[in-house]
Amino acid sequence: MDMQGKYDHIEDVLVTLHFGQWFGWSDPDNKVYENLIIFDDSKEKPTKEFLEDELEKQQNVFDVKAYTRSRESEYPNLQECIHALLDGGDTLTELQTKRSEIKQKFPKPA
Amino acid sequence: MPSQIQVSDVKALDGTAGISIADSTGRVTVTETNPTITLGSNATGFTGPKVADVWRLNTEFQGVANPITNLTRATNTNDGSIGSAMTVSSGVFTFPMTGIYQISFRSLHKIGEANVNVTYAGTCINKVISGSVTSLVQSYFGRATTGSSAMFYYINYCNIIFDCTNITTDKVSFATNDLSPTSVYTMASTASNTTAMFFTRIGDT
Repeated sequence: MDMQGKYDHIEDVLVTLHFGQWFGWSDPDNKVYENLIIFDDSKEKPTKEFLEDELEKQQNVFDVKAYTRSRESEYPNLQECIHALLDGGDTLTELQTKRSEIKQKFPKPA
Repeated sequence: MPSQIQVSDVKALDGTAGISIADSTGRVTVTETNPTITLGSNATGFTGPKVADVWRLNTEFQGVANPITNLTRATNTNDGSIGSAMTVSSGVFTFPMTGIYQISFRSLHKIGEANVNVTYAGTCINKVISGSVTSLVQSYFGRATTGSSAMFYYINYCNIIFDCTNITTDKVSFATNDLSPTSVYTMASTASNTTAMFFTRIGDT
């Protein structure tokens, strides 16, 4: 997973399947499926196809949600929203206008 | 035939620097302000650290782990170490020799969930004496509820001075043992000290 949270390895998928240290690698410097070890007998070893499919799926989900991350970084903060709601009038109108402009700047994918 | 030289001072040729040899106290004093003294490898007493070793978590995980396993010794280019290595079995570390050790545990965590209750994560260093586990130090991070799902990163840091008097019975382990929510990650790398344990022998027991 990169620092923004996008999956970049099947380990990112494995970590989400179960809590704790249920898996590891026979060669931690070469984390390929063939080196995957399951320590917990109660857990099944996922197939390579499942892990690769899930990795691709999660990468797509992350990419599709790029607009929400972009909007979040530019939206007025919570304090500004509360002030606008309490003040009402032009302050609230200006805030809603700003939000609309940000939504147009980062549109939701069709 | 045994022979003996009795002398109180040894001087350099110019008579400035030198070594004074005391009487029955056995003390030897080097009078130079900043002397260079070299001790051979067989010297006993205080000779500097005899053990320095670093181990790293090699596989990321979510949730608790007590003790933490999946550990790799730091042996890449420029990874330094001194003396014999620590050994580990099922997350429990054995010391190569008795002594006073400074032990540090640095762990990197992340969480990316929005609208959950207060987030916290606790880590600790355990002493394992004849198999009996006791936490010696804890470290926590925490944050208030947030609406953001952006990934947040936190570091926990634990540090102890441990007296290993018997390498067979006196051992240590490490844990990520108190989480909310349980989906907090403990991050891993074999290339850097992302989550790592540091062992330095600083003196005799």
